[in-house]
Amino acid sequence: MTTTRHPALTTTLWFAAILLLLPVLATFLNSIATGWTGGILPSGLSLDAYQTILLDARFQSALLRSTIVAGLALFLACLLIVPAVIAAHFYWPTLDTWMARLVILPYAVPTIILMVGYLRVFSAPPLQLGGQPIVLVLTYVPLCFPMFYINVKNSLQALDTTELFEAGRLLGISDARLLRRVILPSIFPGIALAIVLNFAGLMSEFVYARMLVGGQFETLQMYMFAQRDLSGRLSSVIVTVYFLITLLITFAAFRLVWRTETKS
Amino acid sequence: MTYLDLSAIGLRYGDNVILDGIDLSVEQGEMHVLLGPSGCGKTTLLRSIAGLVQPDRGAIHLAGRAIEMLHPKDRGIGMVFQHYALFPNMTVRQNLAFGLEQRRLVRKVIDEKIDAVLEIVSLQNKADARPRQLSGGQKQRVALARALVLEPSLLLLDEPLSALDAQIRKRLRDELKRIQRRTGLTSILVTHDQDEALSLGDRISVMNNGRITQTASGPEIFYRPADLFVAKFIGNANILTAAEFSRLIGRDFDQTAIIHPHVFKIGKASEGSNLFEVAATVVETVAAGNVVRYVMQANGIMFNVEAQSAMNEECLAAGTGTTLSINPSNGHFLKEN
Ligand SMILES: Nc1ncnc2c1ncn2[C@@H]1O[C@H](COP(=O)(O)OP(=O)(O)O)[C@@H](O)[C@H]1O
Ligand SMILES: [Mg+2]
Repeated sequence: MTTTRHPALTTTLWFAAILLLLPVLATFLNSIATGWTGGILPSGLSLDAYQTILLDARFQSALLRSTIVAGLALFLACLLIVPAVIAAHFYWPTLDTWMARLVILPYAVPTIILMVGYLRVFSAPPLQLGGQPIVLVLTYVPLCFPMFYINVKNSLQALDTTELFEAGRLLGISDARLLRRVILPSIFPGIALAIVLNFAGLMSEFVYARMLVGGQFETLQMYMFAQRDLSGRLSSVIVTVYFLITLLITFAAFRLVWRTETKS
Repeated sequence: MTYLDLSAIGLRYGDNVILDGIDLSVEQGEMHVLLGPSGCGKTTLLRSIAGLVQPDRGAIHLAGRAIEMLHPKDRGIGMVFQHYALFPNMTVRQNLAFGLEQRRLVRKVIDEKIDAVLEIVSLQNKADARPRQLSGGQKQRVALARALVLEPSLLLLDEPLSALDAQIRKRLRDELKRIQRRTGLTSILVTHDQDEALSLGDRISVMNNGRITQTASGPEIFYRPADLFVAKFIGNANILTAAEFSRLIGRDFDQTAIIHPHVFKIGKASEGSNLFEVAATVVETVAAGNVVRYVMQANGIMFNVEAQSAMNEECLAAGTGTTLSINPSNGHFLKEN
């Protein structure tokens, strides 16, 4: 691939990048400032606030809860949604059309209605689990669906799967083997992207956690909410930490994608 | 001796007849070209031969063996797909090895076979590249190598050059011919491009609407098309109805005339010959390198004329009058129905 240089475009992109990073930088600066009034820059810097937060047992368990819930939900989503999307793509075109329509559901239907629905589902058999943390996991799985569907579907469409399977058949490679050795590795970057995006979304989820499980199970966002009166600095620390975790996961995912791309 | 024999292959999807009784014989070592417009069933025919679709009726024999009931992998057929169908996550070497591994060959044998075939397609230095790092022409050669490495009895190529741009296309065309000659592999190549068909095919079958209308050598198809469809599809011959041709030569005639533009000679016929002479006017002149293309008019009939250009000779300007001579034995005539 060739890269052509467009000075104007480059400048615009840098400008946009800086603009987008500005709030993050300001939040970070606020999190390490000792005082910040009446000037464009803070008066002194220290990492004390980080110590306070990171050593706070309540923060640690909130972070752990959020990570576990998001992780479990994503694990289930990978296990249920990815095979479903692949199967629909290859064998059930009608099901696939319905999936494509369902994608907008979580966005089109107001959260409050979904919430009421969830509350009813989880308050009667066979899923009478009201208030237990597992409810949150089960709620998050369908919320992950659109991102998984879009990414997996896009990756599949980018491949000419019919020709690939036919090429395989002529070479004596079974469909199952071709799926495992060629199709899945080829759509893996799409799956990884869906995981990262959903993880970021789930870590910052507040409404469902608050309404469905409530106070006994404090997630990261609920912790942040509880700390809102303490000080802007502590909130900034939490946001920064949360941002760094998401960044870390993103890098980990991209490394994984890159490794499978160069290895396999 | 006939190596591949198709008889009465028929296939329909719902009410649409896609293949309408295809008979075809291909000799061993032959490069046979299937030529036809888009949608006429070329790909479907290839896929039927390969066993990727099951025709409703008909028999297929390859090297004396009935293969129509066999699984694709047991037919001994290699196929190059229109969009290459390379495995995107694998290197060139892995792409070639995948099929061989299924045959439980020793690693060393696999490597030797791959090296040999990469040499044939001149891609030795790309063995560890991935498909997305290759140009279109290179991908096409990998696809060819992947089919060749299994040493098939028959090679099917579905529009192997159509996704490439003009220059590479011509180069790869020559290379394809060279490789086919070198391996002596019986091949069927599908195309909708007449130049490709004429320069590659030992014999050509012209397809239309799920039928083969004519099977013959390139020159035969070019100069003696079996019907109007072939005449229109191949070359840019003047196709004049009996009435038009009668008016042109000023004599009664009862057949459709197919006259290639270069069959018209500018200038008077020599004394005593039985050539027709026609007084024509130049309507349009296009000088394109070594040939000059004219649109001319005579007796109210418009037609194309092609002449060799020469370095020190002016071509005829539009509006000029000239005399053309036609040798009827260089024309081809079809009965009108
Ligand atoms: N799986 C299918 N179902 C229904 N119709 C098909 C199918 N595959 C091909 N066709 C139809 O068969 C005809 C021939 O297709 P094809 O063999 O691909 O033509 P070509 O390769 O000559 O362009 C087309 O009209 C196409 O729409
Ligand atoms: Mg085709």
